[in-house]
Amino acid sequence: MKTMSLRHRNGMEHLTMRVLVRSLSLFMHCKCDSMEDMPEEPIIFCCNHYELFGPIAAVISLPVRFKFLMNADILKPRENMEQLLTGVRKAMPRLSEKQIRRLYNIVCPRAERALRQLDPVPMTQGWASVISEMQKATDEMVKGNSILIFPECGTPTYSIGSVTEFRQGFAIIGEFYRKRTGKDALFCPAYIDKWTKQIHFGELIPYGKGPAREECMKVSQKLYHSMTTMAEKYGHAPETYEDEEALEEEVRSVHG
Amino acid sequence: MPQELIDILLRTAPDTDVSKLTTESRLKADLGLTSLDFIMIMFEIQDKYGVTFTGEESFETVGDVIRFLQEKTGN
Repeated sequence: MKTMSLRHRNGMEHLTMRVLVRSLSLFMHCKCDSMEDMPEEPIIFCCNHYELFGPIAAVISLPVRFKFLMNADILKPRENMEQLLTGVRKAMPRLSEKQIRRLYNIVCPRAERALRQLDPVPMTQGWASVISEMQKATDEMVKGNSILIFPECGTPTYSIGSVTEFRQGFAIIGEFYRKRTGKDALFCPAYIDKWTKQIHFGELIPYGKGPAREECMKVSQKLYHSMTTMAEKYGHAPETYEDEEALEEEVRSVHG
Repeated sequence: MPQELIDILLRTAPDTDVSKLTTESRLKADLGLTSLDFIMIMFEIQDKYGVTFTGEESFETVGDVIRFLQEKTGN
């Protein structure tokens, strides 16, 4: 796959992305493994969440044209304040409750506007919505866009470097994609390493021709295996956040 | 209970005990369906009946699924 720069985006999306990328890149831009060997067709990139770092880093760093699937609750931050604050408290344990709420109120409306302009495919938590959401994602693939998804399930992990188990149902996109194009959908495990600011790609996993249930389970298991292998190889896993400064120092000494 | 729906249930979630199946059976609590089971059922229903899901449907019981199908297919 030839890498596509941001100039391939258009209109408002282009402008929004450039502003966001410029500001966020200062802190969160990641280098990506080479994509020279990737095929031209759309790919479903499956990334680790890594607190809030993963989604932001992936959105600003992946050098392909893509749409991302996002928890719909995050697109309604004011309506889901209490739920989202749980995550903020875990991510920033040193801040007081007052500071957290003040920060949330400042960031929240701006983040909501920016996220909506990025036009993500919203993912709700109910079972019934998965089919329609995966069809929307397939529509994007048919248009030539890759897809970015964060398939970890369970409680989001805040332990550094780790990957939780993957959902399975999202892989049904492979069935829809085959029906629309006759091709095998390709899933790419993408491990985001916060400390070296690098996105590593695993081997592409094609959606096979077996029964849908088996294929979904197989794709999910292979993705998870690939991600945990990369997490062991590249990830750094200190015990707690207290080790963060020491870890950063260590990473600086190793990687310059 | 439409036989076609039972067939879909058995095909997509083979461990389902259909002898206890009623329209009041709750998909998760009574039948023990997992999210993957449910996605597969919806996928089969969509394929078989040509209906589309908007994502705003709410399916708690088998009866909800039957009513949805009746509304969409007119049968």
